[in-house]
Amino acid sequence: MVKLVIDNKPVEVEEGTTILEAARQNGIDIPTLCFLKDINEVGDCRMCIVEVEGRKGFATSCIQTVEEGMVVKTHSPEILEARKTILDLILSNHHKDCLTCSRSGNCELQALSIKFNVQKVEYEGEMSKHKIDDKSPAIVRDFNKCILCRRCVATCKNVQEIGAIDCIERGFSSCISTTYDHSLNDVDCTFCGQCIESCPTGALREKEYIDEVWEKLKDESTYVVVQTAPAVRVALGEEFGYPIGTNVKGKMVTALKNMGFDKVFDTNTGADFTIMEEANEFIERVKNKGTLPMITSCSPGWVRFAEKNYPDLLDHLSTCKSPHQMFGAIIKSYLAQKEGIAPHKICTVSVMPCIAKKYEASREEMEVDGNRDVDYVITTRELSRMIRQANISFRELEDSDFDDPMGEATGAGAIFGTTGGVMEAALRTAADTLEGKNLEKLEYTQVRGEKGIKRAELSLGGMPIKVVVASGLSNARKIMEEIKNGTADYQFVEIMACPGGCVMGGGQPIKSSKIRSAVDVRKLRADSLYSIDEASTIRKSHENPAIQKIYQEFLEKPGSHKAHKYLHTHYTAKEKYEI
Amino acid sequence: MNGKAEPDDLNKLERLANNIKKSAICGLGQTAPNPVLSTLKYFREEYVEHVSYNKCRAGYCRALCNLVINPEKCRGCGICKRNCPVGAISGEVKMPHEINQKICIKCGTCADKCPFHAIEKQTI
Repeated sequence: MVKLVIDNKPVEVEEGTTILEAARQNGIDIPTLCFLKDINEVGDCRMCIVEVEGRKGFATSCIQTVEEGMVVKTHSPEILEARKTILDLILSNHHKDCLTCSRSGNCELQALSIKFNVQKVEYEGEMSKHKIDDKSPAIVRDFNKCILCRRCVATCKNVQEIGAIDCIERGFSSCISTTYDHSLNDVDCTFCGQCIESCPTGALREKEYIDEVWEKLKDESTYVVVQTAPAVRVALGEEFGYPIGTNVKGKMVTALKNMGFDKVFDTNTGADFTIMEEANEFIERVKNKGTLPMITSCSPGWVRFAEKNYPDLLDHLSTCKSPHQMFGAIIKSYLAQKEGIAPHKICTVSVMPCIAKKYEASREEMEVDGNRDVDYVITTRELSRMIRQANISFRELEDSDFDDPMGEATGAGAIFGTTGGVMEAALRTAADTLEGKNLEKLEYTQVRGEKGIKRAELSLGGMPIKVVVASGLSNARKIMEEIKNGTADYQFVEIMACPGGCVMGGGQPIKSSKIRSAVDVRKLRADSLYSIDEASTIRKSHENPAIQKIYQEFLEKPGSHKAHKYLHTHYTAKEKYEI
Repeated sequence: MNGKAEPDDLNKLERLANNIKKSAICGLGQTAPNPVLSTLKYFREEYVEHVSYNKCRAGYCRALCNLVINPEKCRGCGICKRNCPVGAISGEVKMPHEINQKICIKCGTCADKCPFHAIEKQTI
């Protein structure tokens, strides 16, 4: 333990703690901007400077570790003046169009400006000008709002190990960009969207489809169907002041109905389809000695990563589409038939916690008989903006249920939203199918939790199998390397592109660096999903009566020709960007 | 430098330099403000002249000087007229030339080219 004094308060902290952590542990806040716990600890924004007695110049509290007997002042008048100057200098080269910025109200730079009472622009002069990159179907980059904190660079490089972006040029022309300043669309970006989650300003944002969706809702001849992913319901409330992880399913459904959607469905049902198909495919592969290990394909960021980095191993990927694509295909075939509506008159909208789903929906092969499975994908954040636009008082809403005939979903579908969930749901169905009876074992706790790679050994129908769950693309790369080397001794792998799974997806409400360092957002949201699962009466996908009915009436059986037509897809190797 | 500074800007410059010096992370950042701080200390009156009287005694700040042709030295050779990128110079051959201040961009090309050193900086 190290003893020091912070703001006249004697404190004791563990050795190796930074001044910032020591202060925060003792209830003293120091403003930060570039700091992102465990991800970007570089001290380049200079916002967190503090005065250390006997030291020339100010110390950077986010990277400076504590020393015995240190006397630290975090809020002396000199410090406050220096911090204000730093903020003024950052603002001098920031396009201050807050009124039209998507991050207004949830911007860390704006919050600091309020905190420091910025009333005028102190330093006016030349501003850097960058072109806006909106070529990709998922991410828009506006580097006129970038403050060069490098949080996105660190996330891309250290967390996901992709390294699609980095700092280019020098001095005043410095800019975060890609190799040769190409569009993000043309480099190795997987559209996981983690960079957006880490951006303190509005420099990175999703490609919005709000206006398009409103247009469709206005058009009375279009039958607009919306589906919401499992992870959306446990995060949407955060945008309306609910604690992190609050399940606002009922209010969300009411809001969507009030906005004018003709049908509101639950992607959890789509997840149940995915499980039916995926568990069947897995059993088939095991029985027929097909390509093993089989890897899940629910995460489009991961699929793009595999297509670019491991084109020889694409056979390992399950041919199943992701749940919302499956559900979109079912809506435009089964539901269209049942309701007597022409498929081209239906518009399917997916509310997703994901940025890459926007890209997935735009993939060429995601259509059946010329009908796009999903027309528009909007993120949790976009939905919250639409609810505000529609002047709906979200907190005052009554609860309501998803629409029939596909409203009922299982607990297995709900846990799709967290890492390990797809695996657990698939194991529940596969175990029952292989044993030929209704097993009581439901919870596979070995595949739960925050670890990036989770390994488990199980027995399914008397057959020993090994499974692996990986989340985050850096962990995905480790698993793929094992498969490539031939050291993989497991049969079933679940991979999610975002660390922590969909609950931490790139389309979820953005949490400030301070909240991210103080609470485990992933755990709160994931726990909420597990409690939805526990509260469900049906917890296995194959027991879902809606699913059983659709298989009976329409799809015949899992893996049938018809199921392949609507619910399966294929992958093509994509060229990696070589310099 | 462009003649738009106000008296309080000198204090602002000093504060800015001091703050950068104390809060920069690297040695370059910590020393970059030194030239500004030391000139402010030893040549403050020149700064004050710039700000308060729009005067640059070194004739270096373009906004505070005009380029004029000394008619006594000018032989009317026309080199300056031919080299002026904005066509600001007029005059008959062998007669003293003249610079139109409204057109002149103060690039200094004429002064560099004049073989007789007839072009001089004149404070405004």
